[in-house]
Amino acid sequence: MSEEMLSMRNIVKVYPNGFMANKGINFTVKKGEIHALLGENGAGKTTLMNILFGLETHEEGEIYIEGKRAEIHNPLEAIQNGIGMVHQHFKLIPSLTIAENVVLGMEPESRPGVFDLKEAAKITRETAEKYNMNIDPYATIESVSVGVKQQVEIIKILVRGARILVLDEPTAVLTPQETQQLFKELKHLRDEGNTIIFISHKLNEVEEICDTFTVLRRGELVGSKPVAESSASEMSAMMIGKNIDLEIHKEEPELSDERIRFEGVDYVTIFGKKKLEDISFNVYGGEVMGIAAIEGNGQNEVAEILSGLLKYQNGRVLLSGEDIKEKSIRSLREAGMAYISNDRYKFGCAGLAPIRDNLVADRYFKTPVAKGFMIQNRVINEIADGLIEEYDIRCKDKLENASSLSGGNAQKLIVAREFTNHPRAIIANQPTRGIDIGSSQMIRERLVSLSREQKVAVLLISADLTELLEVSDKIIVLHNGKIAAYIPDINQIDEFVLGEYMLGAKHQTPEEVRCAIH
Amino acid sequence: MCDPLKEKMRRIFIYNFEAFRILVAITIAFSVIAVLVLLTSDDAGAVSYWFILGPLTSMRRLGGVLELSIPFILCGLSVSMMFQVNKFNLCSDGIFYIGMAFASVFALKLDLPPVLFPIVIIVLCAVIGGLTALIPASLNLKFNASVVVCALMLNYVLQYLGRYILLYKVKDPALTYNGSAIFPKAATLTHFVPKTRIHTGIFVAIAAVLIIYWVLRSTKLGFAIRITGKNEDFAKASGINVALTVLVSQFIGGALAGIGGAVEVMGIYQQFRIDTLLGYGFDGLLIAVIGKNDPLRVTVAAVALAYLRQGAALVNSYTDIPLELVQVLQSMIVIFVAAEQLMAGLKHKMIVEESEKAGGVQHV
Amino acid sequence: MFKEVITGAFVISFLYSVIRMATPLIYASMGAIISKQAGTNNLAIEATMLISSMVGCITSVYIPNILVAVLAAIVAGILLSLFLAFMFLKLEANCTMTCISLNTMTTGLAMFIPFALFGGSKGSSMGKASLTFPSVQIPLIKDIPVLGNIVSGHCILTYLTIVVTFLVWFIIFRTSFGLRMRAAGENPDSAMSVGIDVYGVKLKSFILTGIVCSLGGCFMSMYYLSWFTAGMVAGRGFIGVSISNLTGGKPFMAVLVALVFGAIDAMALTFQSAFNFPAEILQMMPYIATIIGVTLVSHLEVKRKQKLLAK
Repeated sequence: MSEEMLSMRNIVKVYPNGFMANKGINFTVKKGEIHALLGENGAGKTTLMNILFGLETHEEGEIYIEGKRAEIHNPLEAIQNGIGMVHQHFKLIPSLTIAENVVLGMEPESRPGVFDLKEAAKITRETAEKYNMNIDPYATIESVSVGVKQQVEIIKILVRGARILVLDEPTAVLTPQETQQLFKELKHLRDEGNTIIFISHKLNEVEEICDTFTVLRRGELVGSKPVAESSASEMSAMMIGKNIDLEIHKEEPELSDERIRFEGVDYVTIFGKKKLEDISFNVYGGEVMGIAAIEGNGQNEVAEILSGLLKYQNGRVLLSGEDIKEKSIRSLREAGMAYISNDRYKFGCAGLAPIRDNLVADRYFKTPVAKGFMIQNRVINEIADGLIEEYDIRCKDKLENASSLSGGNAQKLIVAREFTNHPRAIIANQPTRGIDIGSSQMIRERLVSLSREQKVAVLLISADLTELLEVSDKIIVLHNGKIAAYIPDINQIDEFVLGEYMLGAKHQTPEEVRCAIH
Repeated sequence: MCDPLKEKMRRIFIYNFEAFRILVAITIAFSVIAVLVLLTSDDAGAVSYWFILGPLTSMRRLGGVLELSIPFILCGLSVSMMFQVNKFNLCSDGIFYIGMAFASVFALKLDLPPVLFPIVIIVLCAVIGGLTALIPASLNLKFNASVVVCALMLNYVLQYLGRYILLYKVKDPALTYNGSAIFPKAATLTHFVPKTRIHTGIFVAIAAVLIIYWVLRSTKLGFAIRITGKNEDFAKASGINVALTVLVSQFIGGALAGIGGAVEVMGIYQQFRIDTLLGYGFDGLLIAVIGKNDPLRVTVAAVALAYLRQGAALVNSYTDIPLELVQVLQSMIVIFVAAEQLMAGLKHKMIVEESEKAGGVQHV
Repeated sequence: MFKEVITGAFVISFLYSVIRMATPLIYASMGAIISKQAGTNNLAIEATMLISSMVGCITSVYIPNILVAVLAAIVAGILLSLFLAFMFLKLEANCTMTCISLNTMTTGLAMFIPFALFGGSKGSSMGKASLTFPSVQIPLIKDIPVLGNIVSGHCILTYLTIVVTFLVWFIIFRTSFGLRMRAAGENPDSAMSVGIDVYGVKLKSFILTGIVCSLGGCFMSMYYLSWFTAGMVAGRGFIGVSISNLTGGKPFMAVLVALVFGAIDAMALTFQSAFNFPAEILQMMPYIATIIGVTLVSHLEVKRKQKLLAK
């Protein structure tokens, strides 16, 4: 009962740019258990599983399956070794039927070359029924729900003989009902002797269905324990850890007028998934409001609604007292909205355009750059030179394309632009992700000084808890699209408690949450 | 770490990669043509002479180069305005032809004083051309229909429409062939260089280049067009009205093609007697691709192509090699340039990765 | 006047024309459908038909055997498709630009090569007359009044369209290869994750397209006309692509739509002489119909996707 099914020993993975994603991890899974793999974004869990499934190479380490050494260099070899992976983004063909998707690559043939759909349906149905999944093999993928699609992915790997099933954040796309259905199936699979690795952020789910959990942090394995002997708080503490201190000096905020206001806002995607529910909070000029959330819990939607890229469904969103629903992005910006997107190269800059043009893209149509319907290149040059120097953007020539900048300098370009167009409200979405310490520090200090000296309302969205605690004055925690906590005074909280709120281990009362409108 | 001389050479190579790549494409295409010529011609020497030096041998021939440059410049600008916003709206060929047709109608049905007459016709044909280009453009915007297919089909429609105008609206019954009456003098563009057919339309072409250059470089619209073409999402997030910008750019492209047709029929032919598309729209494609949508580069490419074509015409007249060979040459150049377009993309990715390595960036 | 013209004989000859004009469109759309199902927006159908019609015609001049000529045409079609495949798959060239340029290149070659081989006047591209397919009279059917005159008397390539359509349908929707091809075309990433060789599958689809298109090309230069001229394909390749898009890649629907377009083509031919109606207006019709059709289909597709995702 307690034999080892999978043992990954001393796995080391280093990316070409020098980043060490896995630092000698020893990961063991017993046979017939549901084993949770926990960790923040960037902890290394996806990398580890990609290595197991042959999607990535590793520098050092070995993989043992049922005690025998296994060489896995590509997904086919992983499948041959009995490993199956259900990815977050399904690998299905929408216009084909479920049966066709299941047998793709190993099609049954009635005559040489002729595809046997009936046999494919039979195989699909047999496996589905074995695990109590209610599936119509002849339905097309595009016509079924997300929950069913996931079941198809599971059938796909079972049909190929998988005995180790790796599920990457499987409940991220499911409704609560579908999640319960999935859990029933997983328990059934476990009872039939399969081994399941469950990658997740959701501590409540881990507590509900997993037997054991392992925590990764910054590429290292922190610990493994049976779920029964632990708690969500302990899991959370293991995941978060304590980070280094940044030295940011800030005075008490002096509040100006209200700049940002969300009232009962909902947002549902075109896929029907509810991403935001009853979001209410406000931010005044002069303060920094942080939003703490694990990726995918609605913070992106808040940022994109406020910046005009998405339209919200219910409630109201006000910018300096005016409803933004019918406003164009330009009018929002003219009202003082500035946006640092988390997708640097999609919304933040045009890689193929010169640095100079990127710096003035939000102000080319008004004075001093524009005069009538013309633009003055001389003025653009002056502005660009000034910003390049002030923000220390390392580039050879402002006429070179923005794509020639390193990540950190591209971000400095973006903030140079967004911070200097007389902003009244700045939305900073992951502003220091993936960039060097020096640039990060500069950006953080500027955000604070903008709030203190220019009375700008700053909305800081970040996955870096240290950054949030150092830069913000108040914090909102988002979990599953709802406000899980409102912290009016960051001195009253530390990373651990913050982590618990972010991971759903703790939740404030509705009265406390309502205070987010202050 | 790396050899500094090698680094410097690599820098030069990367910096001028574009020009280098186009040169390679042209060389490959020329080589293939050269082989074909050697195989099929009895006098490859004469072919080379006429092709390379022919246009320089007389005033009339050199004039021919400039005459052809006029529609080439206008069509090149037309296509490049479409490409500025990443739309393959290839109806310039049809618009050019319909521009000729409508210009003929206006020339024969209206009556205006000289100087004013051609200007009015040019303006009218510009508007017609612009609106026509908006057909595939708005179908694409509103219904997500393929710009390419709609534009190419539109070319055929415009061909038949133009032919209809030729045969039923402006045909001169006194002529033995299908043609309109000769335009009144007031509606033509004067030939002002003796021994050639170079007409005042060349000033229209030059003006167009300067105007487009100026618009792109120094106006708000031009800025919006450039940024939208480089990254639509970023343009949108910065507050630019992307849909409007994309439409306006294509309108301008269509207008240029319409002007091209009007100018050509009032300058060179001074009568409407063509019943098929001239294909200048596709020459414009090549010119836009080589010229990388930059008005000045487009002009150079247009004149270069006109020179090539004049050379080919002389080869056609004086040797046993027909004109169509240059069409093959042109198409090959575009194919090879288009192919290496994405090889360059891959090379570029490598360069970015390298520089990020140097900057010590951490990827999460 | 109308009544005098619309005699039985007129209708019969009109319907006969419809089938005749639809034949190359059927081949073009079958070729386009294969490419579309394999996930390629192949706009070079036109070029493929042109090159094969030229090669077929020229070969029949040198080797007076119609089967050899057709085989040569098929080889030409395959070679062009392989060149395209190389450009797309290996060099990742820009699809639209390459196809457009390929079309203009083959037009140029279509003028140049017959001239180089046969001489004749420059500027005209008429080569020597080729061998043609004989018209085939089907026994029994030809004796059925009315229907017999419409259906019988076409060349074998026309009757072959029935077989080809069925084969194309079968290959795409009933074979394992077809399944993999559709998977690779719709979502190459997912296909690769189950071990499908996307590259190989697409390459084979290009070859199949080449074969089918070349049959259409043969029809043009060796039956429809008995010589070759550079402009003879006249956009039929693009109409084939549009038919494929309009019908969502369904072969039997495509045959129906091809017949409709064939009818429009036939109308332009017959109505003009019968009614003195300007041919040009009628000749515009297929192209306008295509624009409208493509727009409608794209719009409906967007609406359909939205509805599905909103579930």
